Amino acid sequence: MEFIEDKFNMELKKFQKEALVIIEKYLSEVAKQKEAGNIRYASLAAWENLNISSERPYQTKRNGLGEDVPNFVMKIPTGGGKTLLAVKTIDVINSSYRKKKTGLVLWIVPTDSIFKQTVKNLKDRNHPYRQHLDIASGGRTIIKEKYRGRIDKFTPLDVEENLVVYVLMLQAAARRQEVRDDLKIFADSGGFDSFFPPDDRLDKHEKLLQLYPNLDVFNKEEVGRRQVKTSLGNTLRLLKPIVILDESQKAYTPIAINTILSFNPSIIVELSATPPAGSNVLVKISGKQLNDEEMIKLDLHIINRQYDEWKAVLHASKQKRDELEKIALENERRTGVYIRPILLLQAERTGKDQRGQGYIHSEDIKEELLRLGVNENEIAIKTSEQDELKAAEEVGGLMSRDCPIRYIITKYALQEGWDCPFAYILAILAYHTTHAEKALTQLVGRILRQPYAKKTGIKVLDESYVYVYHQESHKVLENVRRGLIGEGLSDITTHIQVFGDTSGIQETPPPQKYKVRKEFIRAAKKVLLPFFMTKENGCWRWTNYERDILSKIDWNKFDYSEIIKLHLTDQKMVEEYVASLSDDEKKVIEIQNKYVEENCSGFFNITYAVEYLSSIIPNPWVAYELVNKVFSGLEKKYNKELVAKNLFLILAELKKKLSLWLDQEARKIFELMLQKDQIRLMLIKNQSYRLPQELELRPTTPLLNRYHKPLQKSLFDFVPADSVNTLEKNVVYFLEDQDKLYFWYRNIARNDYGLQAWRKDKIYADFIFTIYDKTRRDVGKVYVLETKGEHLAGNRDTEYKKSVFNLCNQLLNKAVSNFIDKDEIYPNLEYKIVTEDEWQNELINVFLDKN
Amino acid sequence: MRRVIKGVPTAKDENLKNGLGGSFTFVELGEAIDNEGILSGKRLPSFVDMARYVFYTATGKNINEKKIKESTGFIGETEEYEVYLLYKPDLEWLKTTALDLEKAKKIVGKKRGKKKLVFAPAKYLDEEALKELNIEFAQLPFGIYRR
Repeated sequence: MEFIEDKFNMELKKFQKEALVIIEKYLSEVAKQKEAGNIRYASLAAWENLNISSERPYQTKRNGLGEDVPNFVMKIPTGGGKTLLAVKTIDVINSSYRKKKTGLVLWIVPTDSIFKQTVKNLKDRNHPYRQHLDIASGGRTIIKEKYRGRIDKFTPLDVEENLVVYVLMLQAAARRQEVRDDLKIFADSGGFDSFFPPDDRLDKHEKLLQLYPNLDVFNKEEVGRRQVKTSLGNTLRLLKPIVILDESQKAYTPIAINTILSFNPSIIVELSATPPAGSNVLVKISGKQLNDEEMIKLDLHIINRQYDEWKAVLHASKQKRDELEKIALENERRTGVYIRPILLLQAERTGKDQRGQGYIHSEDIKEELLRLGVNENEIAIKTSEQDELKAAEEVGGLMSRDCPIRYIITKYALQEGWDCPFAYILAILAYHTTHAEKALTQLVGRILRQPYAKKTGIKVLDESYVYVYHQESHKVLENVRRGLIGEGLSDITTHIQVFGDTSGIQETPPPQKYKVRKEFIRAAKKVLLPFFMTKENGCWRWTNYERDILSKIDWNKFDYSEIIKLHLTDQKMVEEYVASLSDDEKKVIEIQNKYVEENCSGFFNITYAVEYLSSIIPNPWVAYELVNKVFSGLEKKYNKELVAKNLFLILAELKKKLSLWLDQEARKIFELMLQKDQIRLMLIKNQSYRLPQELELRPTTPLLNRYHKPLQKSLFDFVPADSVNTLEKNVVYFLEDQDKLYFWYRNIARNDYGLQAWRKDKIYADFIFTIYDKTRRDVGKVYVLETKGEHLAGNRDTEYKKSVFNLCNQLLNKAVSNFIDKDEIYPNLEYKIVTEDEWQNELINVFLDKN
Repeated sequence: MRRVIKGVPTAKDENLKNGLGGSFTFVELGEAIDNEGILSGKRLPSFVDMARYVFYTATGKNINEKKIKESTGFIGETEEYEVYLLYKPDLEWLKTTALDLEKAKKIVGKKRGKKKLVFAPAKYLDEEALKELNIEFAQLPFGIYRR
């Protein structure tokens, strides 16, 4: 793995120098305050005297001895050279605050990968980090580490004569109090004896404890009198280390903070791209500063290909990479600067046995690259179980000329501070929106570093590229923004929209079980919702799309003549946004629709076309026949090359037409089966839907009613706030206000009531709600409600749901129910679909006419 | 080949010199199998040729031709799978044949044995049903290379 720091450049950037000046000023002021006798509040007074502008007042922190601990955070975007700054800060602390070159630095990191990287670089005498450390220590640096169960030892002499930097992973320290005593770091161990009085001099132990009351001791019962443990933890406490806290936003749990403070630090220096609440921002470095110093690749081009599929995106991004490499080679010939552009490809699945489940798998991507003629050794898959990047380290890392890697396939495994300046292009191949959004946010920062922190002067090599597809434009921008904020680059995004709280990272709590509210238990059990059922061998089973519908489609009936009439051109439209830093803030992310010329020839392949259509036409031989007819028809009109260039356009058009046609055919088949009484809408005991009696959910922010009070009429008292969109939330507000409403339930997709009709996907409505029947003092009419945002009104999906719901409402009058207890039958049911602009009127009517 | 496995004493490359290891198995694959030839119907391999190819790519093992039962589609088994192939070198048949519930039940039979890996031109079964039947479906001809 390669990190930003440029091995060939020891020179500090301008903003890094400025940051060090501020730190030096602050620490000198703290020292002055202390000398003047302000021991308890020196760090606070210095902060206030220097008028450091920060959004929040200075937070005083005290170590385990109750001493004032000067503590501040440097807010640095990913790629801003934070480790180098940390090393130089140690130098500043030693020269202007502690006024000595030796002692102990405790360097705390959050993750395994950062741990390994930090240790490796600090131990490497040729690495700038180490060289700057050696400047700070006067050439006497010792790097020690605690890794897993292994604890490096050191002696009092080591710390007296050297600068000892002890690297530690936070998780090792931040555990619960109860188990803390069992951890190695706090356990009595042989190597640290020389820091403590001999075992038999309990008087000296007692004296030590008076000076350092928070030292761990053996239980009194065990020894009789107090004896200090000779642990690493206690040694740290005695030495009052300088603490460097990397990615401090991950360390702001109370347990972690308390553990760190219990090490009696003399000063805490935090590094973070997104400083958490409670930290004191002394230095703030913006994306613009990084860009001015040529450290990041901007503009960021986001190319959203609305009507494509993943192979087309892969192909386009590969083509972009090839183009960049060509330019990079020319550049190298002229300047000697070596750049090998890398394409990051994001898969949806990577697990060995997760292939072929409708998700885009890392092996699918690799296979496609190989098919496009890429050498296998140019492709590396990086997942939690497979790390082909390791091989790159043997030849000197990804930045080495000996490394062949040009494609990296990953899911999210790259997230932890991984960064390679040669990564220029990110292609999000996930089709499923949730995967794509998450990936976009987490991976966009990975391609921002400029190689060698120096612009090449060639525009395309100084910018970065993101390829997405099938996403809504505003979502793409939002996720890119979120990603940039996470990297500390909020100034690239601030002008667009105000963001919510970005401080800190919250741990996700484990799921909890929730039960139906007591007052609804009895009523909820009576609600029974029907499904479509198919008759088979005299029995009724759930209607099944593949068996009942798809198998009866006659693909020969599809009329492809319109496809052959398609107009083909040399050029192609894609949507492109550009995120950049410009003086005109409003223009920072702008959308450009533009034509690009893509060369798809050489890619044309009829078997590829067959595979592309396999999500619609189940039989490849049938698909082949159709594709063959379409392409030979087109080739009569256009030359072969032009047809090949337009492969994706033709296929997309063909797929669209096919799926429209399939919808119609499927509906005909479905309706015919209804007519022949082979399909019925039925209520059958044990085969119909019942409302859940228990839910397992993660306790998150609860949804409240419009008066910010807890919900009253929901079936479960907890409904996650993020489980509804704005329209659905307004519907909830409305429902909660209705006296006649009995209770409502948020129907959960893929989990709850899903209606299978003539399309493959089931219809999961948004809500199920019931009217209270006053006279019977029981459940009255039941509604199944689907809401549709304005922009979705009239689209195919909405129209489909409408027609299924209408059909259901018609059939309900003659719905057949079998084997149902009397009080369970609910013929009094209605399916409703409402749109954003008229839902209120429609729902008002519901509650009006049901007295 | 053997030299590469065991090592080439004169080679410059350190790895090659020590030998790359591994083993080599000679497999007779019959006529070349290509997707386009299969899909167009121009080069459809015989059932046994297809079985041999499919079995090798799916399991990495050579087929025992004596065990093939073309009538049921059974072409062999490994510790993990029983492998079935629904195939005929007949374009019309391929266009109209799919693994449906009836065929699936026939393959699975009455007793629950090993997982069945079934190669077929298409399927008319949903994922849940396949899971219940303990069948893994692989589509011809693409599924051959996927395994």
